[in-house]
Amino acid sequence: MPIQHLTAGVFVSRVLPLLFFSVAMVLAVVPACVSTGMKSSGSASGDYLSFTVGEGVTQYFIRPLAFDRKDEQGEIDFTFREGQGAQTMDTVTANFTIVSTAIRKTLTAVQLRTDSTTATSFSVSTLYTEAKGDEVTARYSAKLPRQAFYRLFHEPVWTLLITGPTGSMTYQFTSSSKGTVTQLYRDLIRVAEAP
Amino acid sequence: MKKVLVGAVAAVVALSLTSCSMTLPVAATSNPIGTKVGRSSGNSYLHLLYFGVDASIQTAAKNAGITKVSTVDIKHTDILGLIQTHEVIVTGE
Repeated sequence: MPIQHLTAGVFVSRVLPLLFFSVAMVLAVVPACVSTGMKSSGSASGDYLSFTVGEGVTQYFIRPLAFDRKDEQGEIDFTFREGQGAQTMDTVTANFTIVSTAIRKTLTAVQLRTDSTTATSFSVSTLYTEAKGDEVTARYSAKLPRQAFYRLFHEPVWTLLITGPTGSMTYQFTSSSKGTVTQLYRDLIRVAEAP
Repeated sequence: MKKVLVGAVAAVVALSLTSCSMTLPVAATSNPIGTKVGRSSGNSYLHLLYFGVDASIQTAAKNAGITKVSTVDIKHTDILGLIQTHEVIVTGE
């Protein structure tokens, strides 16, 4: 359409509907993408991944949940197996990262808490400790009892407590993590913990 | 007008096809699926700006303490060509 013919009438009658249509289509596409790409509905999407380990045994990986405290941030992910047989374990592996100005090369305990449940490990191994500028990134690994881990998901408000040689620190999970916990309970944990 | 409309619809459909996520296999070894899972990820913008993204197998393995790799998958998420997320998932022991 030549520009000199683009009068107000033509704009309202032809171009404007086209613009509205295009915007509507884009708005329709965005939620469609979010629902297929970001929601926890499959084996390789959303908040967790699943892997078939053997007959009747599935390994789950819960993507990182974020937590923070003043100037410190961190995230924690979980790996566990569900099913029948020798390949299933009674523990959940929790790997977590803390970015802080403090240097904590070792931890003696880690505890995840809700109002009614605690899951504790007194055996925490350090995967690595690295300096990045003024901050230190430390990553740890611990094993939590599986049934207590499942019960944590009954409540969305979680607290992480770490204990090291210099004392204890408490971290609160972020609001987005609370939503993820609720979603994970509905999509994964309530089935996994059922007898 | 009709051609423009068809073109717009085709453009939006094409855009929608590139705006979701895709998980692809990268490697599999003879090692059984291990009890450890590690991930590394990073974002890029407009397929141009990367800001030192480290979505490597090495970092993913390091994040879970994996020394024997079983499988490696990669997940790409693209939101309308604006934001791209690259995530590498490694299993092993």
